[in-house]
Amino acid sequence: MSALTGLMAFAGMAALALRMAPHRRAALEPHVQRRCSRLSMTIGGLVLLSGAFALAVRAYGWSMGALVWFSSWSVGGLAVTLLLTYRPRWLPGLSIASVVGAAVWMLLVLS
Amino acid sequence: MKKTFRLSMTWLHTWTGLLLGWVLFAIFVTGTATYFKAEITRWMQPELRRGGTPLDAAASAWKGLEARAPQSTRWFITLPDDRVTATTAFWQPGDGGKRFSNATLDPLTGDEVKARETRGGEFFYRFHFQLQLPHPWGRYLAGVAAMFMLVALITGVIAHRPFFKEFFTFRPERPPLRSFLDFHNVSGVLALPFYFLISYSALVIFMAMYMPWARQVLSDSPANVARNEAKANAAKAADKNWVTPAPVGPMLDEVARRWGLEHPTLKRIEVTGRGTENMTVTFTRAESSHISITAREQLRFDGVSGALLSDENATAGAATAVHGALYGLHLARFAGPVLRWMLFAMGLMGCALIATGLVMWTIKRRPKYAKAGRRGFGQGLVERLNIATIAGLPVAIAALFWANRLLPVEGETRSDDEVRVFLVVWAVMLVHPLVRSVARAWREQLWAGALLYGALPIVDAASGPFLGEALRRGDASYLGFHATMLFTSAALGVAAKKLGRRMQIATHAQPRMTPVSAEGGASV
Repeated sequence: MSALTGLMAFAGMAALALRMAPHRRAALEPHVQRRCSRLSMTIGGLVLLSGAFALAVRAYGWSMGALVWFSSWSVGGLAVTLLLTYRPRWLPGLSIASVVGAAVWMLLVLS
Repeated sequence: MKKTFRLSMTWLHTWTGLLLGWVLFAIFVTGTATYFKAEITRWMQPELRRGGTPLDAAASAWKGLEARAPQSTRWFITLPDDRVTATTAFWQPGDGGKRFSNATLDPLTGDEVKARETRGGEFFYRFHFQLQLPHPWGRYLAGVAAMFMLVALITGVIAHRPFFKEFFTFRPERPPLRSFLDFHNVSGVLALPFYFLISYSALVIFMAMYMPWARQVLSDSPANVARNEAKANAAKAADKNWVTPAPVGPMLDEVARRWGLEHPTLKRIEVTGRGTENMTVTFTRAESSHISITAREQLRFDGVSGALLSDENATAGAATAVHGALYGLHLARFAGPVLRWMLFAMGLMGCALIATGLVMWTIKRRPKYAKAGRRGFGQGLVERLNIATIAGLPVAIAALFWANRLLPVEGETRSDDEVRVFLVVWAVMLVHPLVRSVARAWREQLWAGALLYGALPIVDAASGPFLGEALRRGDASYLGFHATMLFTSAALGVAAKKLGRRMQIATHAQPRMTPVSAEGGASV
């Protein structure tokens, strides 16, 4: 379950990074930049991070859930930073993949 | 006092960070390693084998102790789980002597295991808060370091406030000060909750030692009551007739029925008052479903009749409950593999945070001294301590692992010798920068670390059959240890190489070397 939280938090941090101008320029093609507004990135990021929080608390209770949650976005944020530094173009693909992965996992595990 | 609030906070951040930065770095490195204490022990004692469920191990350990410590009144048994391989037992000698005997037992037979003497992962755990100093000074120093860290964190958030507009930004190609500041900010901000948790809970763990008055609130804790009871029992057994204990089999069956055979099951057995009519056997379940170390699941049996005693889950006072929860959070015994790796990663981020902070202090001041054409004593001291800590400590740890494989397996003082190798190598790393130039010493120590960690698999394969066996079995924990060592080697190698390139650029561009001002407003 912490891995699932981790995937969602990574995608959430990626979305929050992609609302910042320099990172948008580095990671997104110009036509994609126009399509993904900064507002939608902000909302998407916050939704993903709160989703991760809800999952973690549901699975582990309040105190341990909070620990799992902030650990997830700490490590996820580090991954986003390193990707933006060395492979910025991989970031959108990887974050979409982790959202899809998380969704499939949830359907399989929580159904 | 400085001109503005932020400037004074920056000043405080700089000096609290510097003063205990080296101690904090060592605490962080060993603490991060401690998250994998069991795996490190497993690698350092490769002779130990796995087998059976914890309950099988309990039955054989019981048999083994009946043969080994028949007259003893107190037994403590810690059982293997999915990370720890061996059963460890402590017992009080039959004559009621204070010094406990201990043994590592085979989980299948209950016989004492002949494994090489080593402190294993326990070394890192102990070093993390005792720093190899005489008791109690290590703990006091660690406490002061935790306090300084808390201050450095709070002041750091204020000093580095502009980081928000540069979130997720790391520019390794920029001038050193800038790229170090980037990484200092990234590692600092992203894992900030972790640092607060870890430094605050560290203070809480030993608060009874730092502030003894708190003990009055905690003295009613169940552990203390049990301890006093046990003392009385040991005295009684000595002068009364020996009462035959009940067989352990039915008790273990009851434990298995309640907790099952799989992982969060039996972890510890405590036998008190053995041989008296007050004998009690307490079974404690593995911590995995809850954080606190005091809220444990226990089953108590009457040791003479074998009857299950009524659950007396004594509810602790609020102070004890909070203390237990914070203690538990710090130790993270409950963490599964994913969370454990995340905590490990955040520990590494903490090491990087401290290391970049320490190095920035020197980079910031280098141009000033270069311009004046002299070398300050403080500057030289900090540069050298930085090298010995940031590059030297990893070298010393690698030497400890080498010693574990290369010292004679039968040696009597083996575990002390290992630690001695660690300390001697670290001392050499402290002297080395005195005879070499700063830039050379950095590079040589980083390369030394990269080589020592990188060659560890070769040393392992050359000194015993264990690596081959682990490969054949696909032993994830053993191979994971080697993977982590190779990663460390690569990281140190990359750092050494980058430093080399930087040095070349610096020597070619000597005349243009101008003082680099801290961009983004965050002064160090």
